[in-house]
Amino acid sequence: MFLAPYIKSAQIKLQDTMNFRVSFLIRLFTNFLYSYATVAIWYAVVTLNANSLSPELALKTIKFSILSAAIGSVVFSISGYEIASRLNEGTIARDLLYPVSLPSVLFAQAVGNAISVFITNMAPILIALSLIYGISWNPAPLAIINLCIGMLLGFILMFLVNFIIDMISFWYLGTMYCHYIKEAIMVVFCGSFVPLWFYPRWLLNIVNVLPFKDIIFTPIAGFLGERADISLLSVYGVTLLWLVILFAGAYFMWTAGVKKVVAQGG
Amino acid sequence: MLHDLYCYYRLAGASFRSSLINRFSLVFYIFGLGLTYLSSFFGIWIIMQRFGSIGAWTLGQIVFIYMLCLGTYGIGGMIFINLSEVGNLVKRGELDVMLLRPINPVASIIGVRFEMGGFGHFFAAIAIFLVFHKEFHIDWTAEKIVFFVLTIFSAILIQGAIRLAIGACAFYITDTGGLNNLYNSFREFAFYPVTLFNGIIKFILFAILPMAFVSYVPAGIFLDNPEYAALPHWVWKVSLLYSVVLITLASRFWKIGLRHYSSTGS
Amino acid sequence: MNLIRIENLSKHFVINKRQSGIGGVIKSMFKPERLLKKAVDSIDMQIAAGEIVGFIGPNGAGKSTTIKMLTGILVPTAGTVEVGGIVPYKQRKAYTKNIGVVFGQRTQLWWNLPVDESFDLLRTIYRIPRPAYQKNIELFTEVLGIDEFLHMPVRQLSLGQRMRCEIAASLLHNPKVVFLDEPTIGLDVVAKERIREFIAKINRETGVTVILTTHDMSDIEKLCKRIVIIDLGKIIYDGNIDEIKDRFGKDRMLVVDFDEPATIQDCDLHTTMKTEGLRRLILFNRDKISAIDLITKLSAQYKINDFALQETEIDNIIRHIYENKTESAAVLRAI
Repeated sequence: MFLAPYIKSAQIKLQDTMNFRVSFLIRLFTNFLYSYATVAIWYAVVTLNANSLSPELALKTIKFSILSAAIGSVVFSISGYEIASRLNEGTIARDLLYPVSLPSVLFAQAVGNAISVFITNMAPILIALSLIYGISWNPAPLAIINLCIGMLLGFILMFLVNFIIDMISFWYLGTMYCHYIKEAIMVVFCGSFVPLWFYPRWLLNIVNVLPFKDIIFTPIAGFLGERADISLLSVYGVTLLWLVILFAGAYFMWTAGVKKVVAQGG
Repeated sequence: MLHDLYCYYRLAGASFRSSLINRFSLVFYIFGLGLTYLSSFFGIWIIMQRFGSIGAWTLGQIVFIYMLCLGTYGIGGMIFINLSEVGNLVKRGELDVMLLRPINPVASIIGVRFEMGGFGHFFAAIAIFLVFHKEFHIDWTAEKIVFFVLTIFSAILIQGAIRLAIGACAFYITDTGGLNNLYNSFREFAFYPVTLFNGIIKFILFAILPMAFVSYVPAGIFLDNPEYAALPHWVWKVSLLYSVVLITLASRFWKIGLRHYSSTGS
Repeated sequence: MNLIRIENLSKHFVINKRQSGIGGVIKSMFKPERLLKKAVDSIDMQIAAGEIVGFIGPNGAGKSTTIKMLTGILVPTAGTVEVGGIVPYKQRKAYTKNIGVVFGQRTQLWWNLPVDESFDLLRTIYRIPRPAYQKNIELFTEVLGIDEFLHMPVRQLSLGQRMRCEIAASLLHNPKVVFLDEPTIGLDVVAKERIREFIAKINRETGVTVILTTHDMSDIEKLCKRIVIIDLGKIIYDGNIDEIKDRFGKDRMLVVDFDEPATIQDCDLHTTMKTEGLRRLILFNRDKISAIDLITKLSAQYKINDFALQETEIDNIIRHIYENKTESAAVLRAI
């Protein structure tokens, strides 16, 4: 079965992260604190400004901030230094010799990592924050489907963005700084901190033409019933289009990068 | 003491100059780091645009506290970051080398690495100040300016005290990575007026990791918020002295840790 | 007049025994199992100013613990240690000006800085007056030939170059005592020779007292008149080097690869020091049995695949002494 090596590498990554228990607990707690800080701020904002927004919107905003923190813990945990570290350690040439393609292995690893983060980070954070703020989730089946589709698309999108930036290291080794700038852009344009319904019109116009909102905001909005179901299909269509564009870009960069490595002998 | 300071100045200066070698990467690094903070700050700005205020906290007051925390965290990091490496220095035996010099080992430890990334935070804080200083509604009298300088000084001292105490823990538990992460994640709360949060968080920020004294408390000297009227004005000014208490306690703890190290050698 | 005075010096460590599993961790929280390790066990030693003393012993014998107490890093459990009238751990800061220390495995220089800048930082740290500093730099560049790489960052230096700089750095402030912890480790023969010459010359010219730990017998032979052997926290020999060389320097090590598992009985002529699979490391005294005779003897019993002859290193001597404690102790007492 041709998928076997990929499943195996996803599995190994999963075991790897599960193994470090103590450091894992501390990491979980600090991740929780980061999430909690954001939700706590939103809680303060909506409770102290109760007169300027409806109770429904207030609740939706709290729900959004909890979900955003939880989903963010998964999608923002994708490593962006896989190619860079292989180039640094000079193991890239060896990795290219394996009969499985490196980008697919990296994707499989990212999936394994995401599943482990989902179980070990996202779920506990989601439960803890829901308990703290007394949120009860009673979603319609369709909402869950929307969330799953949205998260899947968002995850692939985020992986491609990270992978493309990672591949810059074929030409320039300072990709760490590129990731910083990416993170900065993400906070504003994926609407992970402030839900887009609070954005001013002019900013929303910019955000809407960019794909980043589909990483965090679109899945949550689909879940919270922010949009009508028909229009969501068109949203997914646009996301898919972006995925195709990014995939093409990644493919182009990968081919050029590999050519460069092969030409220089690693 | 004076000689220790001079030695620190020489050591840090050497580290500073050696990090100037790769200027392009350095500028990129500082810029990227600053940008990530500015973008989360941008989120706060959007919130304030939508709501005008959070409770009694106006835009200017929120921004002032954010700026204070960000800027002093940056400078504190520049100076004290290597205290997070004490565990590794012990493990690699490098601390012994530092103990064999006729200066305070803390000067040797922090002098090894002057963290340029701190400029990212610092410049972001300056940018925020330049754009928003009118919103602060602070009448910059000579007295206020003097107190502002003292506030910055005391905030840096507190962050140094926290890092020194965490460094001293390395004599007992060796790996302080988790504690540093905790410090960083609790810092997240200190970007805002800490009274926005619930009792546990407030207790931690006042009593355990006293980040409240970095931003929220000294802001009482400058800001005209009803919360600060609860106590007489001089209280906020006197609170700056708490940094002296903290650094004294931290150095006491450091000395105890060092004594433990010199009796166990581990 | 003795510069270094050590009396009844001991250092004991309490080691928490680690237990496996979560149950073990919880158990050790309430009822920790502790072991007392006597790293240094009541030693006495006097060293006069200007001496070069070789301080040797197997790893974990208590060498570095003693050095750490002598340098003021560790506080002794019991006993006195005094260097030039100062108790190291009590006046650590003042005391450090009197000593120089080189650790072969780690650097006292700054990795990213050029050597001369590192030296200049040390000048500031030790408050060395400029004329004295200049004089030392001139002396060291002449004897050590470090001027060629004075402007290079430390991380770009070869091990030999770095070690020369380390030694120079430890002597910049004209210390009374210098501790050299394996200064020749990992160096090639030429570099080792250079380091030895320098140590001898500096000792001659400045009268600095040198305490040297090493695993290289030639370091000891070329530099030290006196050696101190420490094992299991106790000094098992302190005295002239020639005598111990006479007794043990005639030992040779034969490395034999057998074709089959061999059981070789130890006797007065030879001792098996180590067994690695089919390989045996056999120590023998060349006065008692020649290598040829030994090989003939062994090949009569078992089929030999290959063999090699090694000079004994100080480590082997120490191990020999250690593994035949009663016999060797008697021999040492007899010397």
